[in-house]
Amino acid sequence: MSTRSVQLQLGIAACFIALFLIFIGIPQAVSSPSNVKNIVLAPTFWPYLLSGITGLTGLGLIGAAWRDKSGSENLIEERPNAEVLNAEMLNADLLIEDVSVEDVTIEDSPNPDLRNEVTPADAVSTEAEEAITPPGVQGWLRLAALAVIMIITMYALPRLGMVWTTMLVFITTATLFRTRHPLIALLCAVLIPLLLYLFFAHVAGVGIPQGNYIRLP
Amino acid sequence: MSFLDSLQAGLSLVASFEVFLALFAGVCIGVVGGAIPGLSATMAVALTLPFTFAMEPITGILLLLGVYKGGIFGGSIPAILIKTPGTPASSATILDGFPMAEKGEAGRALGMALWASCTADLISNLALILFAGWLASFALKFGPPEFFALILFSLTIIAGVSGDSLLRGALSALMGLLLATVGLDLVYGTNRFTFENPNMMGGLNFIAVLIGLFAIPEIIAMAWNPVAHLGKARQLGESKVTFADYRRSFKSIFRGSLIGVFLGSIPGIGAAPSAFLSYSEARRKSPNKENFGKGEIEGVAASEAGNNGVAGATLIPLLALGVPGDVITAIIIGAFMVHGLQPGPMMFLMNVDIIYGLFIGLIVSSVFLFFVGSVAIKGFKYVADVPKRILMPAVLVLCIYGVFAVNNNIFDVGVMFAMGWLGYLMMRYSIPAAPFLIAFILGPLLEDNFRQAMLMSGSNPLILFRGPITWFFWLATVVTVFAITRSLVSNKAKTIS
Repeated sequence: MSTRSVQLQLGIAACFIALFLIFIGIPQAVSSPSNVKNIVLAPTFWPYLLSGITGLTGLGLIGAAWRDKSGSENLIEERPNAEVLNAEMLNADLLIEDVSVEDVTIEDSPNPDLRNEVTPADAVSTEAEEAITPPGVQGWLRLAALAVIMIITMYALPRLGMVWTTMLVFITTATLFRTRHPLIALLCAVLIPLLLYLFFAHVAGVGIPQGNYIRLP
Repeated sequence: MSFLDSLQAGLSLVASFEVFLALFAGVCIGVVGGAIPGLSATMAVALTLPFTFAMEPITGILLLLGVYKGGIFGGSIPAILIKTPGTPASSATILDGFPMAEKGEAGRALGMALWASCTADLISNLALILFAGWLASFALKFGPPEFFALILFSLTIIAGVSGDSLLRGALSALMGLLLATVGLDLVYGTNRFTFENPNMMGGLNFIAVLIGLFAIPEIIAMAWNPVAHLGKARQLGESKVTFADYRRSFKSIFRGSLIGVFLGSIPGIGAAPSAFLSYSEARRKSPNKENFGKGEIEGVAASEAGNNGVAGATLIPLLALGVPGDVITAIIIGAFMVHGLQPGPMMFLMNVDIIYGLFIGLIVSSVFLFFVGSVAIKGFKYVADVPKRILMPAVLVLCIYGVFAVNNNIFDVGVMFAMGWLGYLMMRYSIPAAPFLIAFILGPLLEDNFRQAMLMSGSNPLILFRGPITWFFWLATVVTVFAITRSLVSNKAKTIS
């Protein structure tokens, strides 16, 4: 998305937020006593003032977008993947080193025969190609899944307890991120919440929610 | 009692193995506590407080001060490595520290953070010793109009952290200011955007907002594209900070230390605004200003000098006036009281040995910080080698525990998630998060002092210009706004030509 388009969208959103606050949000959600002597002391004064300035900033953004006729610079989305592409093309050694350490190891290959044949560069290429392709629908689905995980976490924390909930959170998010180290992820999913529980509950004295089913000592 | 007599009395009090061991242990605990995102230096000090009850006063207080100083530095480690400040004070360190880590210069950034922290800490301690009385009496003269003018001036630092677009930075700051209005009204006690929810009556938890804005968007971004980080050099690198780096950044370190000392001596300002102001000034003055925000080592140095410069200075109002300079010193004042000590002017007469003992201990703590910090960097920097698709779920779990532990409230976890999505949206639309955070911190202070000033004067706005202190800050604000406008106009002209 171009700079101009971003500025325009932000400007319109800021104006909309300002109008919403001034005409609906503040009258509905900010209580002000009727006996306020001076307007500057009213609880509504500061929110109204800030809403007004937000509206003006929005107009400023729209104006800036209007003036910026060229707007060729990409601000959103395309840039990170373009960076990856450049990094891959210009610094292949670095990429190989990075991935071999972090995500793709030849030992991870499902086919034992390939372990001696696949070079790091080959192993990298699939993921690198994936990295330069915009996530598209898959990306949106993963975002939606993460949002669902967060909502379920809020419901599960008081019911299942923090330790069990965070174990599940760890496993589901690691799966969502398509980790190449499922065993390590599983081990971490068990150990990290337990260690944090031990620290916070027994060293810091924080009352970690235990839930309704399995309680920890 | 002369200065030398006082110094001798202090030395006789602290010259024991037990005292230095406590101080060393405090620095270690602080560095580890500060380095764990969501734990924060404040929480580390609060957790250590009960362990000091059985100690001698000087031993216990130095243990806490060690935790405080270690915690402020420790916060920079995750800020640089995983873009999650361990303490709010380290927020500014992210701006250049994380880009350096992404370029494979994490070791260099961490080294500079340590050197800048120790230098600023030493300068701050010396300032505490030399100027305690004078600076404290200056800060005592501040009333609501002076605070209002000061905070208004502090808001101009937003321009320094707005990145490419001042308008987008302003929009971010306005959102932060609007969010800061949530809670009960200070004067009338009425509800503002609380929606009858008791969890929102005290306003939104700062730690939840902070972690939500800085850590969660990274996790969401990973969900959007789990392989986007491939190809980005996130290795630690062999590069280490050199004396040449230190010498090149020394002006910014020294300036940041002085900013920290000045702002730290004024109660309520804290380390985060100081770090941002120091960063902004360094950016304005540096010949490499174009590199700021892209991994400039001077930016790391300035941020760390700014936040560590506050550490000693916040003790000025605490010791001289009995007024805590920030949340951490408010906890430390509890340790004084537990041991039957009342910080304030009388303490300089009644317990001068403790005062000078603390001064000596603080100087030694800077040396301890250097050694403990060097070891901690070597230990914690391996966080960068952890597979990111394992690290991010771990950070998410850590954030849930950390945010919950601040108030023992699950609602705060929800606030963190909500802020995370807002932060992600801001990231996608290239809206900088730093102005949001600064405005969220300063917003309530700005409004409260404005309304208190209006109450004092019967709503006469002239009170905001009532004396030399307010004139000074108004003038500084006008000069800064003028400089920003001129810079914008000249940049525009350059672009057109």
